[in-house]
Amino acid sequence: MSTSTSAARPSGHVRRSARPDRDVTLLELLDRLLQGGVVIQGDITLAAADIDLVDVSLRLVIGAVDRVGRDLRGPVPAAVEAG
Amino acid sequence: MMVYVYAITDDAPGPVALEGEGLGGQELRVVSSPGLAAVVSDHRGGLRSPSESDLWTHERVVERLMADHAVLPMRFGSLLETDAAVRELLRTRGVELTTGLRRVAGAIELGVRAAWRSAGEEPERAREDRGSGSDYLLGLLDQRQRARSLAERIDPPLARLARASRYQLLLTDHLPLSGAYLVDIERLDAFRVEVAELDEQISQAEIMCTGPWPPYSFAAAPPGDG
Repeated sequence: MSTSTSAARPSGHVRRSARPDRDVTLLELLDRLLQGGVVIQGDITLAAADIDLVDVSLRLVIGAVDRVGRDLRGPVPAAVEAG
Repeated sequence: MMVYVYAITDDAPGPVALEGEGLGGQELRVVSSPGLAAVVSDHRGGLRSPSESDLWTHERVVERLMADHAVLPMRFGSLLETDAAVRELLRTRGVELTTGLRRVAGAIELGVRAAWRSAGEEPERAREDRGSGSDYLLGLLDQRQRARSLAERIDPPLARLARASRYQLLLTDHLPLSGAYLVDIERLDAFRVEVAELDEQISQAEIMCTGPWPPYSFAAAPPGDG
């Protein structure tokens, strides 16, 4: 359950822009995976029932923000603010 | 046993070819209903403490699909009880999902963030403690004003290159603009060139482009679009 640097990186066809560093990319990933996408609603909802998404984003974001450094001093995705 | 859903796609231009593994090393499967397919894997237990690599696993599954298909990514953590529930989702929301797939086909999402280059562009925190309340409010208004005029320079030329776009002002004090742009694949390079030019022209902010991403920010219908 490490939140640090060992996580696998995307290897698909999608290229990351060279310039933003890994942590900016992680913040963008968190923004999208936790706030975007198709959401399951209605009677068949079970989505995210037992995931503490605020906890996930906090753990990962704090790690990322610590490392982001000068370029983006302390961005926090709205996922955290909404919590 | 539950079913984790990664993305919705259609069956054009052919059946979905699955590569790689899903969360927990599980095999990827397709659950289909006429015209639509969901890419899923079996899932044991909950997702109480997902790691960063779980997020990347979800992302990679979606990215691989995107190479050959129009894709609507699911939000991370989308679990359903059974394949029948997945089919029910495809059936009951078929129109919305088909419309959504048409909206994003042939396009990718690009992220754009503008960050103030120097601390001088940020609001004076000191006002919060020492100045009067009205000074502080004026400071906030000024900050909002400056973010808005920055966005008025950055967004129009980028939106012209995009199929759809949305942005937020001041997600934090340091980020006057955070945007997402749905861009035709053929315009990817032109879009990046435009971002680089804006970054050069605009001295007070650094402007960065990330992606291409699956169209997470455009998976839901825009307001007013049934």
